Parts: sequence; structure tokens; C-alpha cells
Amino acid sequence: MKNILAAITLCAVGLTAFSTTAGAVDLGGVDIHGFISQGFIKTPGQNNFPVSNSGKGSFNFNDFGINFTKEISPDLHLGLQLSAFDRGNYGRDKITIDWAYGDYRFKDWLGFRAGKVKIPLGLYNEARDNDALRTFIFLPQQAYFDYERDSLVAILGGGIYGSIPMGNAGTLNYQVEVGAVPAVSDGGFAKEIGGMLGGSSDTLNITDINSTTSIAHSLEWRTPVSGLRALATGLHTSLSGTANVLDHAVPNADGVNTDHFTGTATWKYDNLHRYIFSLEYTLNDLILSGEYELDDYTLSTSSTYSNGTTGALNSKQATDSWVIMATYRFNDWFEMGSFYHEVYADRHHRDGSTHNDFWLAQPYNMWWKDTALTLRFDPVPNVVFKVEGHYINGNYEVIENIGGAKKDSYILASKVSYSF
Amino acid sequence: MTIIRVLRNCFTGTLMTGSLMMGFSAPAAAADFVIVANKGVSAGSLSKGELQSIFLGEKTKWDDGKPIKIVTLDEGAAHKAFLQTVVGKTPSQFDSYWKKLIFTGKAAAPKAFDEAGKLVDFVASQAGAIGYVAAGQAVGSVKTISIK
Repeated sequence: MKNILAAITLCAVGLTAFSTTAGAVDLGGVDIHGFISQGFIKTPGQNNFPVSNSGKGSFNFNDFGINFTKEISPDLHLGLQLSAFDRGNYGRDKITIDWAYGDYRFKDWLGFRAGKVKIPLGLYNEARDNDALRTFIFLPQQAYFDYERDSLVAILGGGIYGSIPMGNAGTLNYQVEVGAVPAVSDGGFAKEIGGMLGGSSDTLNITDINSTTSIAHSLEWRTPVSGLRALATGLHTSLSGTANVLDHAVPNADGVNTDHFTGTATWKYDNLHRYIFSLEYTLNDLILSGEYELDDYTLSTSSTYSNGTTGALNSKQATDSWVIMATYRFNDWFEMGSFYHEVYADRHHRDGSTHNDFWLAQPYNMWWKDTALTLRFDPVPNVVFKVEGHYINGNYEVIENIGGAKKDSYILASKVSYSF
Repeated sequence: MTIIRVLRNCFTGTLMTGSLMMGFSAPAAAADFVIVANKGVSAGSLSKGELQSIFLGEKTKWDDGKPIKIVTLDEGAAHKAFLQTVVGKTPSQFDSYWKKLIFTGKAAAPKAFDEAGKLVDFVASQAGAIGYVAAGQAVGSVKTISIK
């Protein structure tokens, strides 16, 4: 990994030496941009999140990407971005196509895109890969869950977009995308699904994921109030696949897991309807924003175990979350930001009283309340250094824990990024 | 917990100090800059909303269907005044906005100039180009656009 990072850094520095405009590289009419970031994270030993081995302190925390765009004509351009990230047990610096599409802008109010397109969810999803484009290192985790970054952030298909001026009422910008969600069976999302589907008795290893036709939509209203914009975005999809049951534990009369079996399963993550409503207000160097997210979906499995028995589960999920954020830029090189974020696994029972229905041991396993503070430094153009701390109550978001996730925990992270 | 509380108080205090400083800073004004366009551009005046849409990459065509080419200054008082008065963003926010478009493949970065004279020369030579320079800059080779 060190060799990869060193090579990319050298390439980036070398390419920048030939740049002709602010940070960009132009090779024969192809614009090239890229970013690379390396971080360090420390969490309590039990709560290894969002980096899977962060409990011991981890450098398995990087992101990089490079993109190429070519304007064929003023109305038509093509582009592709390759990216990779490492979060310990997922990401693992595997290079993937982050986005790749052709874009034909027929009119300002109607354009077409086809290929792999990032889903316009909330204020941050489309550009979340590049750490330098925001104040925070970790975005609010329910809407921008790191484990879903390899699967629920783009659509393979096509869509329309446009901008509609409304005179004194402001401007409406819209996007609609239709296609398949390119989820992968060896990524963070598969780990998340395997954990949820396994319940209290099974350990599942996802072996295959397929997506139905999915729809993503975004409506942004730049209001007549200077600096105020509102967004309503959504994603609708169903995913299904197969899994290996690595461990089906059967408890005896005392509730102790004495017998263990393997098996196979089919599963569904059905009718996911995700909505994010966002408000952002900019007043000079101060940006205030808030987001509310709703998730509804059904989880189901049908398993056959090596002892000849079968099992099934079907569970409707209704989660929600909200966040308020504030950032302030003091000067060219220093910015500060803070957010408060709450997530509830069951929005109808915010006290966590239904934790047994979710195969979770404690009520505090059902929520996540995160207070974050970030210091961002831009010491020289194109270089960003951040330091961030989180105090967290509840552990709903923690996918990987050792010996049971703690109720109260923290995340300390720092990251340095270079982009051109 | 204690560290978090200290940091929270520090953040609140710093925000208040920053807001006070903001209150004493000189406001950006339209008198600080001139909007210039290629002489082939038919528009003589544009609303603030239209200019905002143009410099945010939402409006990419003139009313006659020809492509708009936006150009910007790299830095300076006119750059800051134009962005804050017309686009509603600070230079840092404007830079971040365009980087988001670049890193999602939605647009190419506007051409930026470190000297106003070079910007004027570029606008004069490129059909459909529009930019801005400091008030008082020689703009004989281009047309000026007023804000409605």
C-alpha cells in the first residue's frame, strides 16, 4: 500500500508541474484531476468504527482518485474517475470506477447522462470521496455511512438533469437517475448486510448481490433568500442475493450455544426507500446546515443448515436520523466546523425498547448520538490538514466490535489531503 | 468528556469572535468590479440571478443558444467583491463549489487569470466569453454588462 501511495503522490506532483490552470492538468484536451489523502484514527478498543481496526489506532485510512474528462463539444463531454480507499477490513485500496459517463446537455433545463453516475443524495454524497471538498473528515454516518460507500453511492444506467430559472422565486435544479445499484459482495455494505441478516444466531458471509431497477432523484431549490438552498433527495432500490452461513448456533435449554452448523441462505434487502431533506444557509464565511433522513426497508432471509433444518426471518426496518452542522472559515488557511447527529434504528421507539426485535442486547445499541468538532487547515494551495474529534453515545452504527460495543465512545482522527 | 466540553466552548467563543470581526469588515460592492463579455454577446444587461446561474455553471448557453465561457480572476479585491455580491459565495466557497463539479465529472473548471489584462484579452478573443475585472481596468476590447 505504501508503494501505491508513494507512486500516486509522485505522479500527482509530477503532473501538477505541467498544469496550466489552477491545479488542473491538460493533456491533449483531456483535463486530469486527482486527490490523495492519508489519515490516522483511534477509537476505543471495542468500537472499531468506521475503520475496522481503529481500536488499536490505524493508518488503514486513506482515499485516492484520479479523473479524466474530455469536452467533445460544448454540449457533450465524457469523463471517468478511478478511486480507491482503505478502511481496514473493507475498501482495501481496491481500485474501482467511481463514476464514468457521457453527458449531453441539450438545453440548460434538460441534459442526459449515461454510464455510472454518482447518486445525488443529500448535500455530500456525490463528492464524498474527496476529503478536501468538505470541512469534516467523517460525515454524519447515517446519511453517509462509510460501509455503504462501495455499493450505495452510484447507479449504472442513465438519467436526466437540468436547471430551471424561476425569476424572483430562485432556481430549481433537478436530477433523476434510473438503473442498477452496483453493489459488491466483498465490500463494507456486504459486511453490514451480513451482520443485520445474521441476527443473534447466524454469521453470514454474503456471496452474491443483485439490484433491481433503482431510481435516484434530487430537487434543489436555490431560494430567493440570499445564501439559502433546500434539497429533497431520494433513493429507491431492492437488493437480493445469496450467502454462506458460516456459523448457525443452536442454544440448549440453558440458552448456551452448544451446537454449530453451516448452511446456505438467500436474502433480500427489499424496498429501500431513502429520503434526505437538507437545508443550507450561507452568510459570508459561516455555513449552517441541517439534514433529516428517513430509511424504510424490509430484511428477509431463507436458510438451509447442514443439520437439515431451515430457518427464515422477515423484519421491517424504519430508521431515521438528523444532523445540524456549522462551519466557519476564519481566513485563507483555517476553518472550524462542528455537528450534532442523532440516529435511531427504530424511529417509532426512540428509547430503544424494541432492541430484542432487532436481535440487539441493549437499548443503547439502537441509537447513535454523535458530537463532532473539526479543525481544518489549508497551509498551502491544494493541501489540507484536518484534526477531528467525536464524542458518541450509543453504538447503533458500529458494525465491527470486539467483546461488545461500548455505550460511550470517541473517534479521534487526523487526515492530510492533496488534490489537483 | 472534559476535552469535548472545552473544545465546544472554544468553538462557540471563536464563532462569536469571527462574527464580530465579520461585522467590522468592509462590505463588497458592485462598484468594485466591472462585468465584461465578448463583443459578440448580444446581452447588454443581466439580472443578478442570471449572473449567479452563469457563474455556478447552471446556465451554459446564451439566449441565442451559443455556449457561455466563464472566466475568473485568481484572487484580489475585485474577485472577492464579484463573488460575494453576485454569486453569493466567498472565494473559498466558490473554489470548493467548482471542485465538487470537477470531482463529480459535471463540469470543467473555469479558466482563471492572475492578471486582469490577460482576462480581458481572453474575453475579447473568445466568442461567448464573460468575466469580470476591477473597476477602472481598460476594457475597450470587450463590452461591459450591467446588472439589471
